[in-house]
Amino acid sequence: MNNSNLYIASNRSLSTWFSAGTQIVTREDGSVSQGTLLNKTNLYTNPQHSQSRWFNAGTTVSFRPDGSAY
Amino acid sequence: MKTLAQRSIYLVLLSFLLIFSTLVTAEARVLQNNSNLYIATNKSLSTWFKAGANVNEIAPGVVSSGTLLNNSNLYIASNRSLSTWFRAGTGASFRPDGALSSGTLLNNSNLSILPRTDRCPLGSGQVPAHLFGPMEACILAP
Repeated sequence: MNNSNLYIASNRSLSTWFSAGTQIVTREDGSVSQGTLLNKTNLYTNPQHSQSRWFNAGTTVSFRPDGSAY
Repeated sequence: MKTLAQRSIYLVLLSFLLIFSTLVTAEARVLQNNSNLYIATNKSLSTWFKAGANVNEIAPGVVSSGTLLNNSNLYIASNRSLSTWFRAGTGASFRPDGALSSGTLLNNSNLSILPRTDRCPLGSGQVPAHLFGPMEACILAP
């Protein structure tokens, strides 16, 4: 038995707020691949979702297909 | 009477001609008037663009980018399941299906950053495989 980090949400959905008056870039499915954050936001920074950090409001962020930021 | 080989050559040449003419007609131009132009190549969607600004025309009357005349609610998903509002006077780029690929938000917006994984490509003959609740993969339909 190990300590485990497991998903507890069935849909694993990730969304965040983007600022009015700023540009977004979308994927074909309608999700956002690049945008400017409305609020200070904690985002995953690796595809494994084992690391995260805070991004300041007004930061333009690009997102990988797994929802992590880079 | 033309042989099958001759007909094939004519078809290939015709295809090249059509592709070339499409490439040649793709051009940027300045709109003389506020214009309602198609944004989907099949002409199923259109929106208003501002006079005096550039539009990139990919076919006669069909544009892939331009400056919005009005605040506009535009699809952001190619399957037309999602839309949001974009700001007048700002540039917008579109995919050939008419969904917006880049634009300036009118309102603060809560949007997904995770691609939808609950659908398999249309016409692929595949169905979603649910292993742990969410869809994990596409598999061939039994």
